[in-house]
Amino acid sequence: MSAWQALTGPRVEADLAVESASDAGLKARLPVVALVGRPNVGKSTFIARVTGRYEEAANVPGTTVGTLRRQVRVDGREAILVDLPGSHSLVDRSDGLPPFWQLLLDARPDAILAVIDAGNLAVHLPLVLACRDLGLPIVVAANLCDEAEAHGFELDPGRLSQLLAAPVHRTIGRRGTGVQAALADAIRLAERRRNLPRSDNAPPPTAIPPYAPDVVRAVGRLAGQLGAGSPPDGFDPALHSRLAAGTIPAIAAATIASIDRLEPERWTLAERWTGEVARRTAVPETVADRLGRIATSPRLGLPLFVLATLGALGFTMAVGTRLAEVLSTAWSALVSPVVTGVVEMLVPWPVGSATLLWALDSGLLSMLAVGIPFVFTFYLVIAALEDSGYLASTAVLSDRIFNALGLPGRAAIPLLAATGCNVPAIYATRVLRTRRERLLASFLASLTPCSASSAVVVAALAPFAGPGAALAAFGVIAGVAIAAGLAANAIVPGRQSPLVLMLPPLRLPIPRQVAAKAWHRFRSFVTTATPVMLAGSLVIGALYETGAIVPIEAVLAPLSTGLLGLPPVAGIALALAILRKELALQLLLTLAIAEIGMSAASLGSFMSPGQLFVFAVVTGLSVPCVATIGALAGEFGWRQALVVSGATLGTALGAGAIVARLVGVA
Amino acid sequence: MKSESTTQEWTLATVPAGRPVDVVDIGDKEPAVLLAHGLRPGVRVVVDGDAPLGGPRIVRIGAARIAIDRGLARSVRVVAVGPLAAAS
Repeated sequence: MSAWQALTGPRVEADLAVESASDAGLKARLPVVALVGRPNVGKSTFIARVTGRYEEAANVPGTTVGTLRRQVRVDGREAILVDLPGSHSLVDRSDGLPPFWQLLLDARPDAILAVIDAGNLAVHLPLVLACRDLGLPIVVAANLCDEAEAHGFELDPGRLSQLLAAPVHRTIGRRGTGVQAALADAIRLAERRRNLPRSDNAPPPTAIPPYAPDVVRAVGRLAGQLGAGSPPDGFDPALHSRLAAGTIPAIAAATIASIDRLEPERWTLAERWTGEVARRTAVPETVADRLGRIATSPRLGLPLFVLATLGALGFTMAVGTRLAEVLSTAWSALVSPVVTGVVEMLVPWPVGSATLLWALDSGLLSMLAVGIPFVFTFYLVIAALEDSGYLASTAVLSDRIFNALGLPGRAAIPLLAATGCNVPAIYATRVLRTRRERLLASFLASLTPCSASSAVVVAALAPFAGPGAALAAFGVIAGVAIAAGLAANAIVPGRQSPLVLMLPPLRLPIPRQVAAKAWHRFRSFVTTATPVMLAGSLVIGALYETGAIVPIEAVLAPLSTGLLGLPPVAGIALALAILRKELALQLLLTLAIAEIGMSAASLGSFMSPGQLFVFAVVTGLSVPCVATIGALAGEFGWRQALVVSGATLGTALGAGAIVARLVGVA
Repeated sequence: MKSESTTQEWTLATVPAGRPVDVVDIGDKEPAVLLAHGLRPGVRVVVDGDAPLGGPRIVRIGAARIAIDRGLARSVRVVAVGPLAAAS
């Protein structure tokens, strides 16, 4: 057997495993197509075109972080489409996830649809070659064709198809051009592979990439060893277990294990093939490219960044405030009386009905008044920035700043998300490579005022202490967060990984896609947050209405009065903000009225501007809310979640105590 | 043909912007990450510019623009290509 055959010969794919026990049924018989590609090649947009709706495996800006399976139908053909996270190579991995080859193979694909950048073949083909070496049928979608052409690249799909021995489609995911055809082709190959006896599954011999003969021989030898059941010492146990279970053929396992030798071969070959299939004509620099250069330039980069950030936050605040007003007014006028009437009619017990109203009236209102105006608006802005490709530039611009905090510039992405809501920000830390960086970024994210706590800061200070005080509070919060970040970087052992980031070209976002993306994320925000909000409101309501809150107040008094110089009820508002951060202020007001009567209806008569300032700083630095703690636990486990939450709480209280002494209220 | 003694050598951190160079060695700091972005011995690159505040270098490899941490760039050795190589 030649080395050539060694690479194509024995293919013992365990097709049937998919149909085993748990998965039996019609669905399991559908062919599986895996969608593979490097990050930022537009796979999510691509898939949105196929399924007609935008979806992500998690609501993380810029990345798909898990696998997402869904049933699709193209030209009357049905299949399971598996969306995998963007990956640079088969061994690429992000913290908390297995290496990419494992995600890919565990999805049990019958065919791979590889999405590549038509204007950057040399960088994108190596991953295609690596997938090809696994022995699976491949369809290539040469995506972003419009941008490639604008840069003077002309691809010869026929020639590339010959070289790869795989169909190549020219696609423009953003417009949907060629997308259906590419997927239909992949489904066709997947169906064929599933229906063929195993022995006929080998691709034609032309499929073998001409790597250096010694490398091919070495891989063939290893495959032989693996096939004979005698892997070399130190062989990857994850690979070995799959090999032993028969879920991966020996040759595929050998190509994965030999990645260090194969990868340089793939890159060299990719470059050579690019020369053969892509013609480049010199074109003048596009406007987008010039903008892209300016975006990271030493002189104009930072001013542009400041402008973009202020614009984004200003837009969110302006639109959010206005919308919040409209919605609150409408709720109080139209919904609230009806809800109150119905609840009071159904629950004759006053304490019970009042408790229920905490959840169904003020709870839902706060969801509506904070969620839609601030969170959704913010998601729109983030989605637009993301689709424009500008986020990568912000990561580059802020790299030096984040370096001081032990993070690469990439951390700008989760922290930007944190100003909307901390929960998606915690998930977004997955764009960072190490556990240490993810924890540090999560800590900073928890300290970042989310749109809900920002609203509290603004609403508590602007009317009673002036807009300047609100700005000053944000300044103090930023200063404290940076100091805490510096300290955390010094305390947590380990080193920062250097930034290496591919900068996508700038493009004009397509409104429909921005809206779809924002809506998708907003929906998952609502489904996560609403139950927490309702449950939290019920607990608070019950404590309050039954009077159980009085002893709690006594316990908290040393903290709120002694440490922070605030009235005792403020301590309760802060403590309960763990459940409902955005309600910290409303709670404060309600509790104050209950405590000292209607004269407290204006916060200004109840707390001094200094006290309000302390309250705003502590709320802004955030007592992490239940949803954030839950997200932290899900990502890092309970122990680390409690450490991060504790550190956040400690920082907030410590900063509050210092500020209280500085402004002279304690 | 250029000889070793007249070939100008830099690291990716020190090479002037706009000068096409060939990568000689990617160092041992983060070889896998650099390789995953197409930076490998023999490949031709041009430094496009620098991010503000002494931030990352922006490097062009083929059609791609890649930001590379300056410290990491220091570990990547490059040599001049073309007629300029012999001139110095």
